[in-house]
Amino acid sequence: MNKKTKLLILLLLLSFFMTGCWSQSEPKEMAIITCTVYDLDENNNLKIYLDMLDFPNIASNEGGGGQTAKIVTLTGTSFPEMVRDTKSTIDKMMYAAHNRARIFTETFAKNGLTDTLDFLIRDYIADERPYMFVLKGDTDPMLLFKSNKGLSARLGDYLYAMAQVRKQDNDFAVFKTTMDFIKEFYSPGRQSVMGVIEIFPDDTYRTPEESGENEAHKYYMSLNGLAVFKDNKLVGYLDKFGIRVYNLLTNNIAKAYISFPVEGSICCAYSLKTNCKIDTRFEKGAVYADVKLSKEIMIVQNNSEYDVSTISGVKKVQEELNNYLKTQIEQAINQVQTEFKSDIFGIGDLFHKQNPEIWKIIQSNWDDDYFANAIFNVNVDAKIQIAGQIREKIGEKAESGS
Amino acid sequence: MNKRAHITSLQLVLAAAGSALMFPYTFMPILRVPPANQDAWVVFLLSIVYVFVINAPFIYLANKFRGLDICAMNELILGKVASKFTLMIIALFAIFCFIECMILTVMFVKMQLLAETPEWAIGLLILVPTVYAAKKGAGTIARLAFFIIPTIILLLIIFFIIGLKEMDIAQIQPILTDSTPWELNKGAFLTASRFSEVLIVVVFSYFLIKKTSLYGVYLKTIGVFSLGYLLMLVPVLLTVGSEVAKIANNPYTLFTRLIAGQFFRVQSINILGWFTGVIIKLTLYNFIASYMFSRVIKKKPQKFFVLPLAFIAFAVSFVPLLRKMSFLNLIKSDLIFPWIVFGVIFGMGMILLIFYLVRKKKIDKKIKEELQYEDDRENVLNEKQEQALKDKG
Amino acid sequence: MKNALGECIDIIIDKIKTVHEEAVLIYIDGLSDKNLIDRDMIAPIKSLNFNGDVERAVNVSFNTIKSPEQIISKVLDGNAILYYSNHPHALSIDLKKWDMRSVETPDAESVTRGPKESFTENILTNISLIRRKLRTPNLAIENKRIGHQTNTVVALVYLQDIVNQKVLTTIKEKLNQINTDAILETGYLEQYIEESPFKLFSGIGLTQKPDIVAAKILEGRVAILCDGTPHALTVPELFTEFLHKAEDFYNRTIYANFIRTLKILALILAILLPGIFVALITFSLEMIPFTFLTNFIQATKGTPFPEVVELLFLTVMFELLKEAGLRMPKAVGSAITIVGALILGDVAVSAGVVGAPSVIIIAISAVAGLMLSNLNEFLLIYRLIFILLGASMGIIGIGAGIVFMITQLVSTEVFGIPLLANFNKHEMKDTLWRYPLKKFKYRPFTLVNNNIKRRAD
Repeated sequence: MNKKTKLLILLLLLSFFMTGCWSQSEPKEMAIITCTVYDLDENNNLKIYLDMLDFPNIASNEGGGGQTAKIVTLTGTSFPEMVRDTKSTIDKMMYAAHNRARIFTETFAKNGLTDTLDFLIRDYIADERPYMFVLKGDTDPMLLFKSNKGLSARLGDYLYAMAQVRKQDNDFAVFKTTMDFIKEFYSPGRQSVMGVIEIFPDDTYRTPEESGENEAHKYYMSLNGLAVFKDNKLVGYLDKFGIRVYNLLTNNIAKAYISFPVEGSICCAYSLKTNCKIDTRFEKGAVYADVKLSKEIMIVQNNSEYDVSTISGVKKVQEELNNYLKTQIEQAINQVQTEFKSDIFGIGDLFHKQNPEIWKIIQSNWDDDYFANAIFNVNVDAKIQIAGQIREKIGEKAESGS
Repeated sequence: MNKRAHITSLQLVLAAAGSALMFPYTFMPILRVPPANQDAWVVFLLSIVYVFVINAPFIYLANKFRGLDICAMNELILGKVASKFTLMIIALFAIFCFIECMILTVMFVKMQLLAETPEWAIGLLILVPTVYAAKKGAGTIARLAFFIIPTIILLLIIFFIIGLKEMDIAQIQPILTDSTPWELNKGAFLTASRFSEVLIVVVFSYFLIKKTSLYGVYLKTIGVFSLGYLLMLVPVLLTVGSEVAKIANNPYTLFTRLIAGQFFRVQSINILGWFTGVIIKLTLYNFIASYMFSRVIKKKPQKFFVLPLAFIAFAVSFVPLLRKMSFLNLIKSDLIFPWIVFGVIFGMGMILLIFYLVRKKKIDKKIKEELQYEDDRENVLNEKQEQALKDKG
Repeated sequence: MKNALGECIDIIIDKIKTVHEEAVLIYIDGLSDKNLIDRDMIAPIKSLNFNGDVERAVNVSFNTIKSPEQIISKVLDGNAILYYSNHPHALSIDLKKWDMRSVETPDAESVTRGPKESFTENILTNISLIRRKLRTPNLAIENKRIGHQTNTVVALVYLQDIVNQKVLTTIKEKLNQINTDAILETGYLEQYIEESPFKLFSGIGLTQKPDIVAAKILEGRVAILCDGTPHALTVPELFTEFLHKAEDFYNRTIYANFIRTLKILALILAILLPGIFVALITFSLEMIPFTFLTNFIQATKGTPFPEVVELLFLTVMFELLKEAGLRMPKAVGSAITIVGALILGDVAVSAGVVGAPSVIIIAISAVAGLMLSNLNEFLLIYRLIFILLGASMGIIGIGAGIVFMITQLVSTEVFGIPLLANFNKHEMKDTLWRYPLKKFKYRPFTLVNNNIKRRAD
């Protein structure tokens, strides 16, 4: 009996190996999507551009660089339906799990992203890692694919690589993954933001014969931008100094350089350490927020007349930097409060942590009422820790005995 | 069943704690119980107290009756006829847990990985190792848990360390200000009621080699369980936040999808660990149910009931009503499952305790007789074996 | 006698005329030392001083034989029989000498550190090699003769005060039950002793080196030697024995543990790597890093078969290569190896029959398997099972397979001892990684029934 049951089980097992495997997918039969662009066409239908990897059909193994791309445009009423549209000319299964970047056109973003987000979280293939961007202006999304992609092969790779690199050294850009966006959306005291792509014509454009490259790019992409959302709808953009303020206030700081004017000439500082502390309180029906930004910087370029190796010089330069940053912060906060009325800095979350009882009462009107009318006191305290490798400014002679 | 299986206390601790960890691994119900916000970890710490309270009657009785198995305990307290009734209730409860766990697993696998595979194939894949392991007996199951559960806990620790970079302490602030004490206690009670693994500790304590106090084993189980639970809950809360994690069907997998994203994805290792743990949980419940049946219907050994129970579970998973996600959500919600567990574990435990306390002196005497009888039986068996060995050699 | 022994060219039956009576000398030419026979047996009784007392006359020690059947077996063993006419019994004199291989280095188990001698085909030499390692009066050596036609001498070697009595009695019982014509090699014995030919673990270890045998005897095991083969069996063999090569104990702790870690990694790779690879490639493409995926697709773009078929095909090819490499004569060896490697590695990939990643995966898995020589059946079967499971059900199938495999390992018993018995608190010092030798106070708990302490106190 023992042997017979074992045999029976074995036969059962073998039988379902033979009947075919249902969820199998061969990588060779997959069209791997690396970048998606979401758009709305004239009839307010969804339109999606897919950047797919294709491998030339060679039987033998020749090394390197065999990837080409196809850009496919599909329309439909919902995403899954679109992807399986019969008007598509792709003869392979589309596979979006390695998607690197999602780009939304301005019209699409202004229309609202809630439906898209639902699909992105719910679907088990589409996941939360790709970076999200808004395509600024009324540009044709196809220009994205014709832009200069640096040293990468595909648009998705390029955006992903830029995000990895620029996150660490650029103050003027913001890179948010889908997960970040969703988390910010779910926080009651915070509104989400997204990176921005802006396409400019390339002034240095040369024809292929002149430039000697295979493909010349007429356009280039600028990733310096921040798209401000309110309740998942696009309400505006911040300029580059506003983005710096956003990064400073949300402690998202990179190892960035700050150039600031000192009485007409330029000094450049490198942040070693930045910390922003915001204390909120509620007085007389208004929200007060004290922003204390403390920075430790290193001077990397000093064109001013002050000697940054002396105490008085340091004080003066610090003062200039503090004023400069304070003005920028106040400008940016003002813009966000009046123009957008959207709390992208997360003041609501901080208020929730610091004054939880009051938060329960005011959280429903936070963005329009309390945040828009909040009073900010900004205090910047930058300290020059290191003044560089030399003491006196270049060209000046050092005095003896100092 | 001539020879009793022997398991060590470490194996029992790991088996029970590992089985208990499979619920949070799958869908983390603690995120949805009141207060359902970032204080979920406080709710958990509070629920440990409730766990002790709810399991107290059963553990106290099991400790008193150590050396005798749960069926003998019921018989001595309630008499032969009524004890059959209570044993059937426990057996049905074990079957219920088994079927629920199996259906949940099948649905999760279908959702996350193999969307087109029919449920019967997935069910078959789950049941074959379960039946194989359950047939081998208690010793094998405990040793199996001894190998697999530490691997799972190690995986949890590794994921925790990898995910440290993504964790943000601000996600669990403010602490305790958004939740009322009533909500916290309710949530803790509902979470504690889901801990049905005390049954495993009690049933398997019969097979322990050393007949020391059961309290030590129980405390260690709760300790390992708490460690594992916190290792799962805290990263999810800190990385993803309670709001997003609440709406996800499988929060821990969501967490593992986010970490180490650049070079490799640890999601597959996570699923591997989860699935092996679930099979152990199913094996344990199957064993308990078949063991109960074999004691009620005394003519057949425990092995006989393993396959029919598995078939019942398999057939039940075909009922159309039970395959709907909406019904499943109802079952795993706070309306049904915790109350059933509470009723069986605490309710029946209290009934047994009351009966025991009423007839305490008589029962204590009978316990001593039974223990002596068991010892004699073991000694006789051992002597027979030694004699047989001498005859051969 | 002549009828019983047959008319063979090497069986010499001589009549020797002495001063008093006739004597008969029976021996086998080729098994006995003729010079010594002449000098020590024939010369004394042929001398003129012979007084008829055979027992005093011969110069060597002898045994007395009382029955004709014993004469036959002694002659076939290589002894010389001297039968003096009216003596009540015959004399059997051991003057064995035959050509045999000397003690050489083992061909299958080479070490960098440690003794390099291996067993030979003569059982007495083998026993002497063991005895030189264990100079204790507790060493017990029991002889049996098994096989009706071969009458092979089989010896059980163990230490009396340490051995596991249950195992010993089981083995003795099984050896007594063997009813066959021939025992030519310990392999025959192994297949008679094992519990079932279809189980993946026989529980019987194989070795050629006397120091390994001595170490195992010291842990309470029984060694079985067979005349005519240099391979010795050690019973019982637990699962983690593949980690415990003797060199392990001769090296220092850190390096020994490093080698053990490599072996554990090799075990995991050998069994699981092809299965997990197939599972990920076929079902869960999102779990593979993007760069690897693109390279993989490029590499397998033109191949006709799905991954499963490629992996199975390559597994079989690799086993073929391995067997061919073992059996072929040395002269042809290198040529075949080059052809095999080239065919599998380079040409198959360039021709587009298989993809390069599959070759790499199978190569890694197979090389890892070569590190674990005594787990051959286990690796082979489970590798195939995992490939099939991974291809049909993905990562979930691998998970189910792992549970199944560990259940089987945990519930197998060899000679009454569980296969994974040494994963308990007392023995963890040597199970996966070993502690420094100074910390080894006790012998393996589950193997030894009595006399647990290694130290003399």
